[in-house]
Amino acid sequence: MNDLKTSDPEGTDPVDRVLAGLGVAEPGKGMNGRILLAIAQPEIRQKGVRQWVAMAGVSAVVVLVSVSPALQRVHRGAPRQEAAVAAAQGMRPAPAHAVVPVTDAGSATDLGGRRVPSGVVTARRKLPVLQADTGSRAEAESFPAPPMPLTRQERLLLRMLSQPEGVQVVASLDGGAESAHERQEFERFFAPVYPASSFRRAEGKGDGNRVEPVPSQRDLPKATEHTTGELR
Amino acid sequence: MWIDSPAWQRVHGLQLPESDARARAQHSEAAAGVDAAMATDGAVAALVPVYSRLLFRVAHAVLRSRADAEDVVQETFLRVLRHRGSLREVREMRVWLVRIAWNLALDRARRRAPEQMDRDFAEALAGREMGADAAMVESERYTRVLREMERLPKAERQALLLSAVNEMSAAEMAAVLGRSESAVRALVFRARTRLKERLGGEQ
Repeated sequence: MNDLKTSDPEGTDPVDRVLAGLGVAEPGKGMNGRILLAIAQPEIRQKGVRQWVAMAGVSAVVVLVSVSPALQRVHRGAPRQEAAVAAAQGMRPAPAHAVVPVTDAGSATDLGGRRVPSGVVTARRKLPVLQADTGSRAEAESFPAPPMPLTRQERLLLRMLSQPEGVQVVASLDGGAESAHERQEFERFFAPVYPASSFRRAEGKGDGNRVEPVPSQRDLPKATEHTTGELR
Repeated sequence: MWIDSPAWQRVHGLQLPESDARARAQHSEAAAGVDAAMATDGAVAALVPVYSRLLFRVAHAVLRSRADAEDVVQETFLRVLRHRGSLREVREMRVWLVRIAWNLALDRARRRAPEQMDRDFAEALAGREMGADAAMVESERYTRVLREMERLPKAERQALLLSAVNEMSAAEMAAVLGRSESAVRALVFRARTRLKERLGGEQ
């Protein structure tokens, strides 16, 4: 006990009691074990720290590499959007500080904060409307939409709608050149051309060399025509 | 025990506290842990059971938080481990360790608000001495004492806090604070006087 501690710790002086309380503080029971463990494994701990640092560094690089193109796109995106929208609307993209005349009255300022005469407004004021229409860069790139060819059914529907009587359209289609062309193709495909291999030997007992023709489709009861009729 | 060997003590300039039976008992309890650690850093591990309580009280006097003080003690030994090559040059191991812990505790105290820690410490101190109603009143008094301690001039405050640690002699306090022994005595006296003046209206 040091000789500077002159007062009575059991007395009523709160200063002495506080100092006495500080002087007799006891550590937790497991403190020595934890410290010994930390001392025994400093290299493991430092290795773990190094691993975490390395992992953090690698992940930071990965994030940087993956994010930097997006950031570049963001930086370059705004002028491209303006150009794309302007090109889509058939007008030349206006410079950032350009002013364009508008009909509304009142004062306006350009991007630099300078006042411009009433009746004109800066291009920057007009841009939010265009950007709101385009939304993002992906939408700006796909504007205008590429021409999509109509399918056959769509063309038919269009023709039906464009003409006052859709039934006539269907009737004209049924006898039209397109349908005739398809029928012609079908019959040419199933044309009755029979090569010699279509004949086979008859399976008789005594006469094994007699050859009988296979009944042709021409002899069949108009199967193809019937089929064609069904298809039609 | 290997740490008790005179040769080891001579090498490290370590004087084991022969009268401190509790430290020796704790040392025996921690012997298993020491044996595990001494294969790599035996010298530093041997210091833990001998000095951990003293370092804890030094740090606790500054921080008034058990968890923070234990962290400071651990950090102290880890720093010693990092500089274990210079252990042979240390003449006053006890003062050297206390100074490390003292500086670490002061550094940690700068980075936190003491109010909550002081309130918790005051409540714990009052609660173990008296009943609930009286403890509440007493806790307020202790909190005010601690608050006024923090308002003392830096040198006086540090001398007063270090004097609270029973195991520290005036000479050791002077070595830790980097002042003469008489200067430390004067600082402690002035701190007590100033504190009692400021708290005079309440006592």
